[in-house]
Amino acid sequence: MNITIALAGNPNSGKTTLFNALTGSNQYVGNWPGVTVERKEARFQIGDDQATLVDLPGVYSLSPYSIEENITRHFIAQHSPDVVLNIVDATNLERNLYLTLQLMELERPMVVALNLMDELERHGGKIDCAALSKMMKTPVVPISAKKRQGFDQLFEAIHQQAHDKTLPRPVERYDASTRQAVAEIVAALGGAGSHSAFDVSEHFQHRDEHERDNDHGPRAEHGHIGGYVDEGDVDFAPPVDWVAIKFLEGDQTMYQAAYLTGRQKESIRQAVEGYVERGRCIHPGIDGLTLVADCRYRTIERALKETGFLRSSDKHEDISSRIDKVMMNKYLAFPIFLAVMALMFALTFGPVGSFLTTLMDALVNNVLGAAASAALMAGGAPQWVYSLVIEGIIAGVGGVLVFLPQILLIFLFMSILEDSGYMSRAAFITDKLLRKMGLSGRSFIPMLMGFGCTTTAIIAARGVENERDRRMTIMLTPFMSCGARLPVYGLFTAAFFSANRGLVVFSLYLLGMLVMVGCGLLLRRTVFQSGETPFVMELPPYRMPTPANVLRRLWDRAKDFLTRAGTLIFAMSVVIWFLQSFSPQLQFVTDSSQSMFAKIGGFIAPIFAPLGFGDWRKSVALLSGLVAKEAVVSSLQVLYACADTASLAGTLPGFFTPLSAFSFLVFILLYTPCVAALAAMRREMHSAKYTLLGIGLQLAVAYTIALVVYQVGLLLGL
Amino acid sequence: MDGAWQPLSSLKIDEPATVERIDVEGRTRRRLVEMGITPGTQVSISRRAPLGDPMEIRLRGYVLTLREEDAQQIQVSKGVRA
Repeated sequence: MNITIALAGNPNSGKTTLFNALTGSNQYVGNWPGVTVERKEARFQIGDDQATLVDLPGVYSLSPYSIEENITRHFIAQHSPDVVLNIVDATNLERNLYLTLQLMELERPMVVALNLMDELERHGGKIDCAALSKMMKTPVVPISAKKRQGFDQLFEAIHQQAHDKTLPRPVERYDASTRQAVAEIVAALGGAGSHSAFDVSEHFQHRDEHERDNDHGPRAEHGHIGGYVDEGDVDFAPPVDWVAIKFLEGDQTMYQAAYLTGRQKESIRQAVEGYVERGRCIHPGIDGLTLVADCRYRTIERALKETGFLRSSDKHEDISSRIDKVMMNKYLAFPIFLAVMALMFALTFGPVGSFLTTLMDALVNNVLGAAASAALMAGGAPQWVYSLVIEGIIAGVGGVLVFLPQILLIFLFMSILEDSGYMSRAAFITDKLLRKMGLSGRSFIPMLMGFGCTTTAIIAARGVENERDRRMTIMLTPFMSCGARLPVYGLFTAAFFSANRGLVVFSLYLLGMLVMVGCGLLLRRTVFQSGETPFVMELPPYRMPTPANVLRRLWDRAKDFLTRAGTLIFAMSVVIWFLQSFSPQLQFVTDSSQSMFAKIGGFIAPIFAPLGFGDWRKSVALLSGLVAKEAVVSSLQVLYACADTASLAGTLPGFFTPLSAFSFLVFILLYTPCVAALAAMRREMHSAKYTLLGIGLQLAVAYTIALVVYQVGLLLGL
Repeated sequence: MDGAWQPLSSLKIDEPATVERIDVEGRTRRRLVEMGITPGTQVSISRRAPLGDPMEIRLRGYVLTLREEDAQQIQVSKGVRA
């Protein structure tokens, strides 16, 4: 028999560790349709059953307001997995069981894996799993995902549930008032087992009507959560108790999606009102949403009390809070944060990183390039083929491959920071700095990475869980001046500003940051108006990162990057090579001033005249900067026929004034990043629209600010 | 313990209190409630960020971050309710 197992659980509950431990190397990694949330799937054997394990996103609840929660809710409700495997952190039981109850409300066969039992017991806590199992009518199996303990019992429980299909009925354990209200609504909906409220055809008919009438209907409301829900509503036949609970919670989307008669609506309204009224006798001013949450938490508290649960003796928390006394100290927090960042930078972009980069570069050019070159020569390939392979593909794809060691190093550090629990703390201390832009502290580290390498930083933005925040972070990060822009600054400051080089470079970095803030404020008011998430974030206890998890993530990242280098970047490299090597008459040319690139440069040059650099050679240099920003230097060198950068620095004053040189630098700072970064933007934002929007923003901002700099400078007589 | 209600944000560090009412609206409200900030829950502020905001609160055996503006709209009473 084939069984599908859905793995669900809170963030920080050890879900990834369990997934990796259960499935080994047999993973398929992709995305959920239409969104950037990672979807992992793997097959393995349980007895004679072939099991498919689907990793659902880590969530705290199943409300319809985040993509991750919607994915989980819809996967379980419609794909009806044979077993829902819910991993629960035993050291944080109350809150973890909240999701468990919500999962149970969806009435699929479940198994609860109680992770970190060993840790709980070590710290003096205890849980009676058998009693808890019996009470919840769901097998509860103690495991240690990290140490791979308890897996046999877990498999046994999964196997049994897949065949027996015992469905949980959590409502039975809810308080009298909630049970009464649920029963009333269920009766209004046509009794237990009735799915009529969500009859597919009627449901769609109704919804279409609704859409015509009102743009702010359920669909419009769902617009910002990324389209998953739209395709997900097909065949949606949720348990009737669950529907009743949604009505009590005041879930407008469910209410509007349901097909209800006037009489049903009236009965439901009365049931909900009665429920809220009863609740208000105890908690004045409370609403349905809070009452239901309160009911679930009370059910959990009761169950834990009855089964003799003992929370750990706060000792472990003490270790974390003792570490935090130093790490989060008012005066030490920022120095420590900066030291951690500096170390990360120094290793990634400093000696270790550049050693590995040089090694990769040598591997690509001297080994691979030399071999290809020799083979092509020996085979007597025509010159254009030679040029395509060596100057197009190896130079282009190789130029991007060179980033791989740095990306892996950054990911190594990010994984360690994330798994150890420090990442959340960094977000906590930096949150205030980004709030005005409608972002949270989560975006701070990726943005900071932008000073090293835009491509790396964009990929690092994966750590920002919220899609809106992530897209915004990705669009803003390129304004942080990356390392590849430094050689250009170096050349121009040597040629024009030798007296105050530091000041000029510093002003560029500062300008980049100011523009980033300005654009952030602008984006918040325009494109990213809705979907701001509250900064209500769990601070997990400090834990030792597991090497297996870290390596697993590095491997996924490397695979992903290499696939991309082989596809999108490959295609882009070929296109750029083609423009650089062929004349408009499609003749192969070796002199780049005859190429289409040069023609395009000549064509667009007048556009840059008001900015102070209307010379076609400067436009071509800017175009080549798309390949890599530092390529601006080498192309200027070729175009102005200089032997080295020193003589180029001597030549440039003949073609630039200090003012136009500065305006040129401003443009270099702000315009579209290199192809590798663009490819990363496209991939990580998962949206052509937002990628184009980002490119448009960068070009517009670069043009406007360089224009202002040049024209104001002229007015001032510079 | 039927002392006057006060905003959660006005508590001193490690001063125990009980949640009475949540005045936050919309998504933040839902999120707070789901994370376990329901009436009757024991909470305390365990730390403030170096820049003064956000803050770290302790409840149900774990730690959560909260911004000042949200904490101002959570009414608590001092002490632990039986």
